[in-house]
Amino acid sequence: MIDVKDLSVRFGGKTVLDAINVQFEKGEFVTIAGNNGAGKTTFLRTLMGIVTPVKGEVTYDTGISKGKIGFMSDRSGFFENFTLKQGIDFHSRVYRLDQFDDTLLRHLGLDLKTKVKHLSVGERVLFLFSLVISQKPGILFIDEILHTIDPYLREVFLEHLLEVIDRFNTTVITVNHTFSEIETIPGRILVMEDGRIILDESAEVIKTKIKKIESTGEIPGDIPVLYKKEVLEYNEYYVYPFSEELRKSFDYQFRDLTLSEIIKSFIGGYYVKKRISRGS
Amino acid sequence: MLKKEFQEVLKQSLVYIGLSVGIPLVLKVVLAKEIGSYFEVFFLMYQYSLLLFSIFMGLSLFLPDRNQRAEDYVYSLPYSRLRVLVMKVVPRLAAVAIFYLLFLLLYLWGGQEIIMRSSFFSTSWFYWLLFGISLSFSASADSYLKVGGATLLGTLIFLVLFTFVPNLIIQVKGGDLHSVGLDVLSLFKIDFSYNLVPFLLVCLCLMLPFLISFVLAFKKWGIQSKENYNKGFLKLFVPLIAAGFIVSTFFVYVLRVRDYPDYYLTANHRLIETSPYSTRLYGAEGVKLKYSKGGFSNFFEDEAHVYGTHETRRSVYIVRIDKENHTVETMGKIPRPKIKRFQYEIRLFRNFIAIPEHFHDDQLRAFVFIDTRRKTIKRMKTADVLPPGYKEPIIFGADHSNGKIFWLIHGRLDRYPIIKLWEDGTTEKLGMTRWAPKYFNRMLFTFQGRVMVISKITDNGLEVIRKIYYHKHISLKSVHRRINLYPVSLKEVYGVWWQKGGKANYVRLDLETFEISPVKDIPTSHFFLNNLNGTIYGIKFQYEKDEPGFHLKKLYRLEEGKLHLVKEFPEGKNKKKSDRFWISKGGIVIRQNKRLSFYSLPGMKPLKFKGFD
Repeated sequence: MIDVKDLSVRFGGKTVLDAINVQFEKGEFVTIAGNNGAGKTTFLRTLMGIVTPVKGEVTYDTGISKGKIGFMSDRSGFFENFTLKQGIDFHSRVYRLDQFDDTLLRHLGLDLKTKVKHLSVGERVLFLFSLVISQKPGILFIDEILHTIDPYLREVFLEHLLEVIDRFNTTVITVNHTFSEIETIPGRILVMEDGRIILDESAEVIKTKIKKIESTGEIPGDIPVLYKKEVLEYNEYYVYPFSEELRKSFDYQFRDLTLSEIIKSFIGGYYVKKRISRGS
Repeated sequence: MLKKEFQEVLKQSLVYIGLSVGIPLVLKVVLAKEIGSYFEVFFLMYQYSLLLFSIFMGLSLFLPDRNQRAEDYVYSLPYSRLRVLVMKVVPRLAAVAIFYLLFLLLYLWGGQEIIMRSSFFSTSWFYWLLFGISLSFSASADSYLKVGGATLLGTLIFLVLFTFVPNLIIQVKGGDLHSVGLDVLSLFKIDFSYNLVPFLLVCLCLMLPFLISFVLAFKKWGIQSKENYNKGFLKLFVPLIAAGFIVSTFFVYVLRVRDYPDYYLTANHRLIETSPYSTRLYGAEGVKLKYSKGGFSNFFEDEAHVYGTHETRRSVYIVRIDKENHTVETMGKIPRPKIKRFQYEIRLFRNFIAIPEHFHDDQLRAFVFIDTRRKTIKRMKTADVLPPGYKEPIIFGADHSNGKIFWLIHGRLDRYPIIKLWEDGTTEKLGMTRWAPKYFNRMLFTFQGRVMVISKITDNGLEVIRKIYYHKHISLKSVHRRINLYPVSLKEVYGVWWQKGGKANYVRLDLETFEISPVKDIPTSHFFLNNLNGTIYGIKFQYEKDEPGFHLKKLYRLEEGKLHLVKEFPEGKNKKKSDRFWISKGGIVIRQNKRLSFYSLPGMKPLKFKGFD
C-alpha cells in the first residue's frame, strides 16, 4: 500500500535518512521508535511529501488520494488567529468535506468561537485530530503527540483513533516514545537509528525475540546482549536476538519485556554504542 | 487557502492604509503650518512607504505560517507545492498591483506637482524590483530580519550587475550611458524617458534568475530544511544570474538604441543626418556621403566646411566635411576620459578651432588649438598659460593684432577676470567685470553694476569708448552662435534684464549710437533669439511638461527692435516624444509625428531631399 524504496534524505551535509526500504500494508498500525535525531520525524514528513528526498521514492496505492492522507505534526501548528469555526470551515473547504464530526470538540466542551491560540496543548491536539479524522483518512501519520497531552485526553484520543481504524481500515504510522497506552494495540514496530531502520517486527514477534536477565555477576559472552544496565547490586542484560536454545543452554531466568522496555533497550543500546565509538 | 491568504493580505493592507493616512494626519496636526498640505505630506509618505510595503509583501510569503508553526499543516494539504506557492503569491501580487495603481492615480491626480517624473519612475522601478527580490528570498530564512538581510544583499547584487552591464559595453564599444540606452544617472534617478527597451531587457535578464531559482528551489527542495533549500537555490541561482548577465550584456551590445537622428542644414542646403552610429549627408538628389564611424555633434561651419565632433571611447575627433566635394577629413583628436562625462566648448575663429579641454569636475586641463589650414594641433596646458585660481575658463571672443591671433578668456571667480591669450601662449590681463563679458564688432563689453563699459582692445590694454548707465543690469544675450567667433559686423544686439519671478524684459542696444531702448512685444517665455548670418531670428516654441516633444510655433525676424512674423507653424495632432526642430544657417528642420519637413533660410522655401519624401 505504501512502498518506500531506497529513500535518502540529507539536510545540508548530514544524512538524515539512509536508503530506507520498507512497505506498509493497508490497515496496519505501525509505531516508529528510536533515539532523538534517529530520523523518525523526517521519515514521517518524507512519507507525507513535506520533505523532499535526495534519492528514492514513496509510492501509494492508486486508490489513495492526498486528501485521504492525514498528518498530525509534533508541532501541532495551525493558524493561530483562526477561531475553531474558521479552522473547521477552512479544513472542510480544502478537503471538500460534507460534514464535520464535532464529537471530540463537544466532548472537550470547546466553544467554536475560541481562537486556536487560546487552546491548551491537549485541546489543540484533539482539535487537529478531529479535523484529520473528518477526512476519513486511509492513511494517518501521527508524530510524537501522545506524550504532550494529559492521560485523560490521551485515552480519549486513543479511543477515537481505534474507532477510525475500525471504521476506515486506516493505516496508522505513528512516531512514539510512550508505549504503555498502545501496548494493547497489535501492530508493527520499527526502530530507527542514524537514519536507518534497525528493527522491523510485529509487536508480538519482537516480544519473543528480546528478553531480560537480571544477574549480580557478568554473564557468559555467548549470550548476545543488546544493552546492559547497572541497577544497584545487580545488572540487567537485554538479550537480543533471543532464542529458546539460550534458555536451554544457560541457567538464567529470561524475563519477558513490555514494549516500552524493549524500545528503551534499543535506544539504550544506541547510546552505549555511541559512547564506545567516542571512546568514553 | 486562496481566501485565507487574501484575508491575511487584506488585513496587512488595511494596517498599511491606516498608517499611510494616519501618520500624515498626525504630522499635519502637530507640525501645522511648517509642512505642506495634507495631500503633499500624504503623497510623499505614501511614495516612500510603498517601498517598505512591497518588501513586506514579498517577505511575508511564508513567515506568518512559520511563526505559527503551521507549515506542516499547510504543506500536508492536498495541494502541490506549486499550487500552494501560486495561492500565496496571487493575493500579494494583487495587493502590490492595487497599491501601485493607487500611486499612479495619485501621481496623475496631483502628485505631478509634488514629485518629478523621474522620481515617479524610479519609485515604480524600485517598488517592483524590491517586491520581486524579497519574494525570491522569502523562503531563505526563519526571521524577518534574516530574510530582509538576504533581500538587501540580493538587491545589491542586482544593482551592481545592472550598472556593470552598460559600463562594460561602454568599455568595449565606446560611447556613454546615453548611447547604450541605459542612462542611469544615479541609482535613484533613472531616466526611463530615453529608451525603455534596453532597460526592460536588462531588468528582465537580471530579475528572472531570482524568481526562477526561487520557484524551482521551492518546488524541488521545499522549505523544511533551510540548508537544502538555500543550497538548491544557490545551485540554480549562480548559473542563472551568470547567464542573465551574459545575455543582458549581449543584448545591450547588439542592440541598436532606438534613437531618432539629429539634423543640421548647411548654408548651401545640404542636410546632415546623424545618429549615434552613423552620419549621412544628403543633397536634393539623395545621399552624397555616408560616414559609418559614428555620430556627429557640435556642428559649426565656415564658408567651405561643416565641422563636427565624433566621440569614441578614448578620443574626441574633430572632423570636417567639405560642403561641395562631400569628403570627410579628420582635423585632430583630443583624449577623453573613459567613463566620465566629457564637456568641451568649441570656438571657431578664422582658420583656428579652440577647445578648452576639461572634465566633468570642471578642472580645465588644457587649451587645444587646431589650425585647419596647416592641419596642426597645439595643446597648451592651462597651468602654463593661466594665472592660478581660474575656474571654468570660457573663450568668449577672438581677434587679431599685428598678424597674430589672440583669444579672449574669462574665468568664474566672484567676478569675471578677463585674459587675453596669444597664439604663442603668452597672456595679458585685461581687467575684471561684474557679469559675463561679450565681444562684438571688435568691442569688449564689460559690466560694473549698472554701468556697461564698451572698450577697444589695443596693444596697450583697454581704451574705453563709452560708458552706458541703465537702471537695471542688462545681460547681453548670446544670440550669436557661440561656437562661431567669426567677426560679423553687427548693427544691433539685444539684452535682457530680469524681473522678480523670472520675467524677461528685452532691450535693444544700437551698436552705432549705443542707445538702449526697451523692446516690448517679445514673448517672455518659450522663446529665444538666434543670429544666423547676421540676421536675428526669434523662435517661439511650445514645450509642455505633460506633452511630448518640442514644437516650433512661430518664426520671427527681429529688426530694429521689432518682431516680424516670418512663418507660423500649425500645431500637429499627434504629438510624439521625438518631435523636435533644428535651426541652422541653412534653414529649419522640423520633425513632427516622425515626419520631416525642411525650410530654407532666409526665404523659408520648402526644401526636398530624396529619401525624405
